[in-house]
Amino acid sequence: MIKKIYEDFKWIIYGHKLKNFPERFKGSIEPKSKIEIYKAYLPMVFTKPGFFKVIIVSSKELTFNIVLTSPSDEIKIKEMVPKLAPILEVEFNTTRPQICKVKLPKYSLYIKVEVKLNPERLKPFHVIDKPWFIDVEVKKGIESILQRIDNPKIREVFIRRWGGKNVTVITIYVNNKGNKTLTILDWGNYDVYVFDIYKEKLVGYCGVKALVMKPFRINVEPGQQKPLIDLVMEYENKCLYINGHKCSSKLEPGKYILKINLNTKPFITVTMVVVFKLPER
Amino acid sequence: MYKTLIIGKSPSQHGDKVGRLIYFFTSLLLITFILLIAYNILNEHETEKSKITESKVILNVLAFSDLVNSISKKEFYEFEYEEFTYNVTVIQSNNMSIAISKNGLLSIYLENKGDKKNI
Repeated sequence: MIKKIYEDFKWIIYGHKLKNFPERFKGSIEPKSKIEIYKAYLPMVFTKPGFFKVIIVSSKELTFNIVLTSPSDEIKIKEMVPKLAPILEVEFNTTRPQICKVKLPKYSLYIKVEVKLNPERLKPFHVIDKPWFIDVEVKKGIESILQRIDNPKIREVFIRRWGGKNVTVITIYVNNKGNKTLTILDWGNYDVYVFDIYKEKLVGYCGVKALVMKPFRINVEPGQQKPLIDLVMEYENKCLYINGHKCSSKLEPGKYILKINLNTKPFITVTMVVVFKLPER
Repeated sequence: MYKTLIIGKSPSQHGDKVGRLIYFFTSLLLITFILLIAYNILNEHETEKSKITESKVILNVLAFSDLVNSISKKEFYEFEYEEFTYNVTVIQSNNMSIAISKNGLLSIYLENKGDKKNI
């Protein structure tokens, strides 16, 4: 006869934490039935691409004594251990070799979640990942940069280099949506990685490494927005240049993932989609 | 010292029945409170003890192999949400199960199957 089970135990979670997962279960479960203990929208739990593991185990454990009739039984048990890793604990008793002790949680669940980008659904310049205090702006041409440069000599350099060219400017802003002053320390270095959107393979890289002893201190008041960096992207003859540095020498037209790492404190990473097209004739 | 803490004066100082009664009930209240705390501590200890082991069953290798196989799973769920594709695989589950709706709502259940696998 099936009995109603009364349980009172704690939950232990390994791997990716599930927000608002109960700390304890205290209650009864009717025979041949199930009780919902947790509910959540997975897109709210796993917001970035990657591989995640969630292992949920009860503090209540079951212990078994397994009778070993031959040495081959011990080998069989050892072969089974990886199947239930990491929840299974096996203890071989040296004083009583005919018995081995096995422990496992009474309730357990082990799930793997893989979050992949769906290239077909990604729009050009879609920002996949960025910190909460960062805004990304994408503009054609260097007009947006020129508007912010007062020094005529620097303006001239920009116009001479990119004026009238088919370039795309990515501007990263610090936008303080909080209620406290935000301080960013900027060492002026950055790394830009280009990934194939389908194969997720690195196809291009460029970066700036400068030896800065004293970082720039950027204070952003609540509600204020300040530009942090401009990246001028130039795609010409299947070559990609970022701020004049060669990023890739053979890049077929299409969709790519751009990962921008800024050497700042707090560390800033922006991941976004870029599309390269051949110039229209 | 306690007498002073509880009612300020000892019963002899009150010298009447009311004072003695107040002293008696306050002491009774304090004792009940102490007993309640002790009961709670003991009860907590009992609960913690129960988490260690529930049963000690003797199994042979074949029965244990069946148990391991019943816990090892390979259940797949797939759904799409905005620019992401989610692949969820249940690797192991023991007396627990999940359900995922088309829009990615995950539900986790505790089960009482009541069969041999539900040890």
